[in-house]
Amino acid sequence: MMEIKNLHAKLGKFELSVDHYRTSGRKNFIMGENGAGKSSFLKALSGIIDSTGEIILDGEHVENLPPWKRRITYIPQNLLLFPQYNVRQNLAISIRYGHGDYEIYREVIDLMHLGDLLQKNIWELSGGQQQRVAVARAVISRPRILLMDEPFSMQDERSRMSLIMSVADLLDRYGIDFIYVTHNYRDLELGFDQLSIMSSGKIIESVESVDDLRYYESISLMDFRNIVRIDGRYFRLNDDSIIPSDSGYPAKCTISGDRYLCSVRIGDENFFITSRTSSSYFRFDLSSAREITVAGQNNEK
Amino acid sequence: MKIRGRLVYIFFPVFIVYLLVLIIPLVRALTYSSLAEIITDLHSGIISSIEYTYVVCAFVAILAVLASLPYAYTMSRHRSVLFRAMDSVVEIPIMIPHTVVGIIMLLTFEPSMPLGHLLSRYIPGYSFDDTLFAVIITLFFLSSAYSIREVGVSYQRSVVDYEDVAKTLGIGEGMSFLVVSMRLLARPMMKGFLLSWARSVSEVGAILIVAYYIFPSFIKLAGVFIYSQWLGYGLYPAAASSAILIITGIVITGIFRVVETVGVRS
Repeated sequence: MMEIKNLHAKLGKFELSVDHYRTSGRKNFIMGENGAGKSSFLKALSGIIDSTGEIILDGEHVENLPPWKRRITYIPQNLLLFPQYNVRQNLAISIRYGHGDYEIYREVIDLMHLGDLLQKNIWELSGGQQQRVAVARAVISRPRILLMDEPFSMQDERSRMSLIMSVADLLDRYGIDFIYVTHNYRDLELGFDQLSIMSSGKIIESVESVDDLRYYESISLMDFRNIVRIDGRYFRLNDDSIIPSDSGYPAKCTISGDRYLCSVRIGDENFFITSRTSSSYFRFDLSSAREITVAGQNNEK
Repeated sequence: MKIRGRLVYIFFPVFIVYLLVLIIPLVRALTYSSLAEIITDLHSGIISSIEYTYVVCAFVAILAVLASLPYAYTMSRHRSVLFRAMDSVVEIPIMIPHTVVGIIMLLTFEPSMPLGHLLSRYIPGYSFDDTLFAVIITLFFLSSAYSIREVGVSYQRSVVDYEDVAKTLGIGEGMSFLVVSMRLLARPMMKGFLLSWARSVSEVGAILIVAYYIFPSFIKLAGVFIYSQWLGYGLYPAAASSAILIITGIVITGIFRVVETVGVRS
């Protein structure tokens, strides 16, 4: 288990500031918009970028340890397999120079079907093969926790979900907890122990179910439809609160399945709602809508 | 059907003119002297001068590449304004007129100057002008920027990320640098070596001031040798020596290109 207290890092003008974060179970997901600080957070945990604060891993403080002693392995989005080495050398590098395990190396090659690729150069591999090699290389290094920064994002959805499933099984086999960063809510459908939401360099909430999400920043990541901002307040609309009308907020609708997806102009912003009927204008009954809190505003209160 | 944009009609003539500006003087230099004149000039001392120049400049280029590694490592890990200001110092030698560089070197390393005096206290028989040391330090001052930029840019742009990932795999700092970064930097190091070497070979102005002759052998670097030929004997022998220098330079650059290409493939 990993626990973080008062983690701060400054990267140019961007400031990472996580007051408290604790992994829960094996599968920990982090979501956030682009630029929310997800990658910086993982890099700070692995020790690649300088930070202050406490990082406690299985009860041991590791914040003062260099990256190679933390046993926190990081897989970046672009994987960074070493191009000067072939697959076998990439996989074995932590055995030769780090604390990698040869038995795990042999097992992982079988489990991830890498036997035929061992002598290949990195540039000869497909995207999916490279991703499998990157995960295998990380697992062989025997991390206490594995940080994955959207390593499968370049795959189509089916392949990506298949990869996540097989990686989760592999990590379960070796008892390795992981933090998986994604901005695709479909990845969550495979199940998770904890989902944390990052926004503006902060973790604004951590939940065990998507239904428990409270903040606008979190809920809009799952589904941006039927969320509107009126007079500075955010509302989640339901069917009863969406009223097609002859006047009100102007809208343009296109058919989407058995409903209409409508872009509604409210002030200077466009919001998307789903409606049973098409209309050029909409009114909203906010008494039957659910108001959503904005994380930043909540903190100020 | 191949469709060309209009820009090609503007850019292509400029491209051709640029190539002609480079090629015409080289062709002129190579064809001005007859083959007999070039063969005769081989006995003028230019060959030994070129050999000496190439070896000394290779040594300087090696020093420049060696200096570029710790420099790139340090700079990639310090992004403060102070370090960025220090980084801009690297380019200063490139913009200083070369004769001024010669003067600067004398002002710094002559035994009568503070630093030179300090060195003379610890190095028995220390002297500066017309020594091999003067040549090496002057060429290093002038050419190191090329290696440092070549290696530094590659390191900061991509190699440092590979090194960081290697560290999270449990590979120690030194070993990550050695087995990951150094291997990835092989090509930039080679390119940096060639650029620094070429820059050193082409230097004349500063060398004329710090080491017209290099004691005790009285040998001259190739640029100085050709300059003295032109002063003493006129255009013909200087042109023949220039042709020999250019031919050898093209051959060496070509060999480097081949090695670099083969290296990339492997």
